[in-house]
Amino acid sequence: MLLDIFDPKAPPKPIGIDLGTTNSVVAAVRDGIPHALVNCDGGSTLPSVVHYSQHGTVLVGRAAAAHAQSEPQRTLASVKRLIGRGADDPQTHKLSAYRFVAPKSEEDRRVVRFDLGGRTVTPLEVSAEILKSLKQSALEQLQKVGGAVVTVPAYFDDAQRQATKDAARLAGLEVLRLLNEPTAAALAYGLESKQNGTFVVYDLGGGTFDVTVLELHDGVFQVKSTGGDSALGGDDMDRLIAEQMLQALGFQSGAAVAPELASFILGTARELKHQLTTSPTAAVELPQGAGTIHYSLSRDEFERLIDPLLQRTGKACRRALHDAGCDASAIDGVILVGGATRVPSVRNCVKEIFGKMPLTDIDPDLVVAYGAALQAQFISEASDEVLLLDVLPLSLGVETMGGAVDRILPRNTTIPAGAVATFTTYADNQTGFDIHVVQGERELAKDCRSLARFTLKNIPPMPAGLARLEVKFHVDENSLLAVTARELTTGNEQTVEVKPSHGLDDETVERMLIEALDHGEDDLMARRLAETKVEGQRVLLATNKALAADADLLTAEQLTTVRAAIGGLQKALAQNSSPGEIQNNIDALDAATHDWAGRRMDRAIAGAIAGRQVASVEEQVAHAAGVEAHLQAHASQGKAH
Amino acid sequence: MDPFALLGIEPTFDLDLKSLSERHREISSTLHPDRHVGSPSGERRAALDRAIQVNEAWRKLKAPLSRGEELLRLMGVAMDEKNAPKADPELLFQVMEAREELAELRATPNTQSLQASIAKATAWQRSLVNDLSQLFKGLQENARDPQGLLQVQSKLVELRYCERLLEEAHNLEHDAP
Repeated sequence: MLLDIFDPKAPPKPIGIDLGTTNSVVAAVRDGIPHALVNCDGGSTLPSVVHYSQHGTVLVGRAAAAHAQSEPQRTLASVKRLIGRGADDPQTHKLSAYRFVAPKSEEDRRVVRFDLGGRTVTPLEVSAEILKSLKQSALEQLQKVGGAVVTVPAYFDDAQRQATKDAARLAGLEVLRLLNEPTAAALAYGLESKQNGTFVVYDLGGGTFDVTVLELHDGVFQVKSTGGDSALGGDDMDRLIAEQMLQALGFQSGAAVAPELASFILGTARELKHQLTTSPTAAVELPQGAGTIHYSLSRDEFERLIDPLLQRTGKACRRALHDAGCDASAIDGVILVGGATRVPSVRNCVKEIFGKMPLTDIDPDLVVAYGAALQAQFISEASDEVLLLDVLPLSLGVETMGGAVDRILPRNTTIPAGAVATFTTYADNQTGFDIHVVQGERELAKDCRSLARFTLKNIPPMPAGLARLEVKFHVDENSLLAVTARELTTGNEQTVEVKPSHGLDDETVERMLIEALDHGEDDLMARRLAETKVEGQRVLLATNKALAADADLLTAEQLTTVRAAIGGLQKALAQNSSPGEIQNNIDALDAATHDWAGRRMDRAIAGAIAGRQVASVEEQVAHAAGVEAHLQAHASQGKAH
Repeated sequence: MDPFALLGIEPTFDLDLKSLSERHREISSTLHPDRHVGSPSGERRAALDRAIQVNEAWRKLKAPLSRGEELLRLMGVAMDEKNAPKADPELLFQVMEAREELAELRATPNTQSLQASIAKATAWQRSLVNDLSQLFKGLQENARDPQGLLQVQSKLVELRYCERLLEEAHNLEHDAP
């Protein structure tokens, strides 16, 4: 580290962040190898704990955790279990030292708020504090920080993903991508071993469990299936021990416990769990009245205690194998991720399910951040060394009459993905149509996660069953959903666009961002101008590059339009116009190149197919002839269109 | 959009799934959003749209049911709600019986009987896919054979019922909702 020479002209360094339930890690790639960066605690893993002091200062990491017992309600840990969840979620009410704000409105219910006495914070804001601290550490070591890949559990739903992405934005990070944790781990392992085959990632973290089956094929990481439980992890083991301790102290199960005691017991339970990894028994003196009582736990007892949790992971594993269409014998390796996989009985459980010893060569606490850093580097360099093809973790659907779910995109669909469903009115002269978008595998909408509700209005009156309403789902590479709905019957199409929300809209995040900066609005304006300029330059460069390669796909007239739009943008950039003015010119160039971009992509597809034909031309002459015919048919179809 | 044409694959029911996946990987290598992160938004959108179409085409061609439906569509026969032939009463009865069996197994679990039900439904699925393969071969010689088209349609309806049943059985097996 001392020998690192700072080069002022060096490009900003992309980073990877594992935002964990218990610990968080930031990593970057140096000389092709991922390294964990040193955080504000001086180590690689930063406890995901934030303390809000009475004087308004914010502490993160070990310094924050030091306040856990004295000020439990101002010291927030494991908030990942609550991010993107509603206030009524059962998760919120489990043994917890925190005070929550009672939701006052329906909108309020969509988000959990911690009551800090005098102010409230959401899990999103708490996560942003952790991310800010990691970004600061990265800045100190890398001088310039570029985009970030932030990892999420594969089993996170849309609301949890959106909230995580917004937390990163609030921390001032440019999010290159949300990456699934198991996929990140597979990337770190796969690039090291360079071995092709089918692998399983078993990821038992502090609060989430993921299992992913994926195929590695010459740098392409193709996820076949993913499953898990976004509320199952090492925390639950701690809780089981804590409940036993409370019983030993004479508390009835479910009885109210003072926050200070709850926090102390949970912390002690965690320590006992750690001790049991290496020793057959662990013991502690618990305070009771004026004296103490002795509490001890053997590894055997602990294993019996957590067996139901392990059974749950086993079930998810078998289902993931089924969804991937393979059995345990076809698996070439099992990768362990997450601190909770250090527990010996977890390793035995994995061995039993898959019939082989799991791989643990890379530190299970760091492997996810390593994968994230590698992906951040690849994306920033536009490298084509690897390709990650991930899947949608949970089915997406729409509630139908009677409360059932009409599944529109099934789980384990490769993303990005899209689908269209048509519906019709059920009553005569019905002018509005309620659409309720849900995510999950249950048959009834009320048992799934509600993502968005909206009404398509102004449907012209007509008999039931005649109107045609089209709902379009669009899932991007981060598994984030956008929904569009339109009415098709009258020909005058009206569109409603819905971005599923977790209680915070774009304006709210923007406002929080302004509040978070010292000079609020001025800073934000300056930043936006800089960003818009960079984007403008990038668009110009890309368009000129495209012109050099694919100008023949433009008519003379279109070429003139594109050139004029280029000129407009160049002028706006040269004259130092306002961000709005530059953006308008970017949009104009965008519009002028829209159809052309589509044709260029078609050419790229044809190129990818043709490249393959040349390679295998001898063994597949007959097949290639068929392909050629269809390419031509497709091309002529495109023209007619 | 014709998924066969989009992936540059000869339209046939008997696809080699391995080369289909390989083709999908090749095309994804140029279209995936990760390859276009630094590009202007218009280009990113165009790539994303195509990537979605390619993924959807791949999803449709992988599964025999949707692959059969797409092939029929290419022959000018759509399998939507209006055009799909009504299910045979005998088929409906058979499916009803099988579903009752599953309902009983849900109430009183019995792994052996469940495995037997799954094996039965899997064998049914396999024979339907075989029948479809033969029927589509026949249609290759004479694409307008009305008898052949009708038979394909009714086999596809049967396959749809069969797969729904199989899914239900597997959900029961994995104790899923």
